[in-house]
Amino acid sequence: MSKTVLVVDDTAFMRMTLKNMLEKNGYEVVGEGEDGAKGVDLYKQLKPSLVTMDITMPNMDGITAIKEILSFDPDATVVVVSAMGQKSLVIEALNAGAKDFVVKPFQPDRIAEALAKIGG
Amino acid sequence: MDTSQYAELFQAEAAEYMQVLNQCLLSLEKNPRDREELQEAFRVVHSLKGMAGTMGYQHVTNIAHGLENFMEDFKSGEREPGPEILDLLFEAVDLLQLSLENPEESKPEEREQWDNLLEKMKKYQEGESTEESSVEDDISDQDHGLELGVMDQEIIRQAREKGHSPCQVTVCLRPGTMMKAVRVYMIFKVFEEFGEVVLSEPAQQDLEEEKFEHSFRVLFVLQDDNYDLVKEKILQISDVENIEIITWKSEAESTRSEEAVKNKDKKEMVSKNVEETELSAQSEVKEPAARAAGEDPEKTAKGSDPVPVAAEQSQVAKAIDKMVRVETQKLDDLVNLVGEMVVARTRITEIGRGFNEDLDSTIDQLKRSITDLQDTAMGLRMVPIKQVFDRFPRMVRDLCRGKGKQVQLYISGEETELDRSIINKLSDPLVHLLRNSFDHGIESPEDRKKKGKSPEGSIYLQACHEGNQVVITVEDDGAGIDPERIGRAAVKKGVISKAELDQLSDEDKISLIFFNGFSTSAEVTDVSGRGVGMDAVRNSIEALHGNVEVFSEIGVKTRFVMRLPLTLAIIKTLLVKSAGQLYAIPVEVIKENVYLGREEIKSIRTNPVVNLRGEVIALYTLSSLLGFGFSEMPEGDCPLVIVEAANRKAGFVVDDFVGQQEIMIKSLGSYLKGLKGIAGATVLGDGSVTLIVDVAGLLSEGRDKIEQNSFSG
Repeated sequence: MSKTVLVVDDTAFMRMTLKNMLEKNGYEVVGEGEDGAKGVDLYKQLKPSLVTMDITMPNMDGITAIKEILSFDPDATVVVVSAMGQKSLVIEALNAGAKDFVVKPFQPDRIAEALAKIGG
Repeated sequence: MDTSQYAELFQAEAAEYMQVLNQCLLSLEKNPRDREELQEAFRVVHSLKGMAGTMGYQHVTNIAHGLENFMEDFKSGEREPGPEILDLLFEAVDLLQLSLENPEESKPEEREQWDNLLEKMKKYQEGESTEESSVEDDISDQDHGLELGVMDQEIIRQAREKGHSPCQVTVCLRPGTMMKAVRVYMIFKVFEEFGEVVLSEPAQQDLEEEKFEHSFRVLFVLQDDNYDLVKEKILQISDVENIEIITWKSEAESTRSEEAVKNKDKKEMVSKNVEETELSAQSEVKEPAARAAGEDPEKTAKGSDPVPVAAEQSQVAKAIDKMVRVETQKLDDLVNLVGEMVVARTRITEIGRGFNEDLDSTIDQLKRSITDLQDTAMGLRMVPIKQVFDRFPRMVRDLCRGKGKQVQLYISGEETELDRSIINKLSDPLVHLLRNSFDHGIESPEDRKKKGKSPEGSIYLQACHEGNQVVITVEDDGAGIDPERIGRAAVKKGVISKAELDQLSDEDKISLIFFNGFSTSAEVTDVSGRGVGMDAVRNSIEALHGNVEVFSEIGVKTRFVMRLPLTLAIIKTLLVKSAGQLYAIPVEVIKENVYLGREEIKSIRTNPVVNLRGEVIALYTLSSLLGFGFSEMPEGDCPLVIVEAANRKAGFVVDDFVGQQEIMIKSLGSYLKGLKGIAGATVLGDGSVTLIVDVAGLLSEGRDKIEQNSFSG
């Protein structure tokens, strides 16, 4: 069975790109959230095996969302997808419990590799 | 990756972001302390960068990246962006906008402009931050001191005593790894889990600043001999290509010392010091130990505090979030279908009435639902005029900078909704009017002072609903329009004759600015004068079934008032019959309907005219004017529709007035497109097709042509 993924990003553009890329790599994108709060809700509903999380989003940022997801499910696997130059935020997200991060603009194989490495 | 399929979505989203970005900068200009705005701007640039990067738009990404770096300095709120900074930011945003126009390939001059700007930004940053960086240097110099080195050595000695094993770890990152510092951070986190990092090469600070190629080494004290676990954990981190752990023994020396020479600054690092005793004796151990990992986030965050996220929820962002993107064509199709249903509703009502009670009540219900559906469908096409208004503060600001005038733009009613097809066509005329107000209305600050006005001029841009219309007003408190000057210029340019001018009221004289070929500005400026003056504005407004008027008081103000229908899809018309055929005339061009006695029709050179309350108006039968057939004047009183468009009045003689009706405009299709005098067609309730008269088009065809149309009186 393919792994289920929840994609959380505030730009429709990134969600679509990520989704297509993930699906090409055999993942099943089961949900898309456009902000942190949506992401947390969707996680609770869908319990995906993997979450890709943008950091800067309106309503609830990725870091808060990671914390909430992990307090709901300590075993959740969250991978941060961030643009360059957000070093401190990425570190904060890792401290919050994100398993790994991928930098935009990403190459498809990098994402696949990152996900494979963390066993997602 | 083939990204072309995303290009459209990218552009749509980027355009929204650019709008938000401009707004943020404008608010920042007013209130530089507004961290929320700054963070919003930062977030938007950041998102754009991510999107552009994924699309492979190199130049766009570069600009966004540079802009983001530049803003980073102010995000912490320690420093406020002053006017010069904002100028740089605005300039960068403009270049960003430019780069979005053709993102796939940037022009060399665009890149050059950006390089220049980047240079300016760098200079500014350096100039401002010399103080800061020198302080940092001091700190790192201290860090190089002996004290910490001694402590490191102490740690190693104690570790040995406790039976822990110091080892040297070489970690190699994949070439081209992005955000290496964060990878380093993740790796260090693993180290801290299993032991303690004593030393790193390059120094931790350099690692954080990404001053290394792909590999770095650390002197690491492992608490248990759990080499494999450490190795495994580190290899799990993405972008880690390789890791080598060598026990801190003499074997390690030879390999290391060679490499260490490459790093000139750090060559005295541990390489020589095989034995722990020697190590502690060495004073040239320069690098401070990597201290507890808990400190790192603070260190890396220097100058850029983590973003307090709640602050990012600006209203604009929220508004964007609630939107669903739908192709406009789909909306148009929907509205069209609903239009068909409305027609069918009317017909079924007529057919079904009185057959049986149940049918009647069902039809009533259907009618109500269809009416609601129609309202909803029309509502879908409505967008707030904000979309157009939002760009104007920026425009006025730029004009102020460029022209040395001080003007404040006051906007109200930006939530007023209009059909999107109208909104799209409203931008140009509004730009024109605003520029006109700015250029010709508002005086220079000196002139204003002389006149006893505040040096800062005001332009008011307002929108509101008025019945079934939207009224947009552009008003300035500038010099006003001098009717005499306009009149003289009009005569000089041959717009009207001297005799005609003398008959005009002041109000009418001012309205001459809407005539074709009229422009009073003596000099052509890049702001508003290009010869395409107010007539262009009038034409575009009338094409939208609207009208525009001007009011002015010399030395006090000038006000342009535009009235537009809420939607173009449905218009209010008067149905008339001419030569037995039904025509629909949009009501906004109709001045009045009168019945005229035959005796009142006079002729000038065989052309029929009527003298209506002192005004001589040319008469035409509608059908012959359209070229659709010859029409006899009706017997007895003659129904007459007085229309005004394109600043010209005319009287249409018709067979009969039929009634007023809201109609749905249908396009004529490609082969009837461009038919003169016909704006479209509609299907009436009984299923019959009626042509809609394009009055403005008919009247602006030119007086001569119209006069050639014979009239059979």
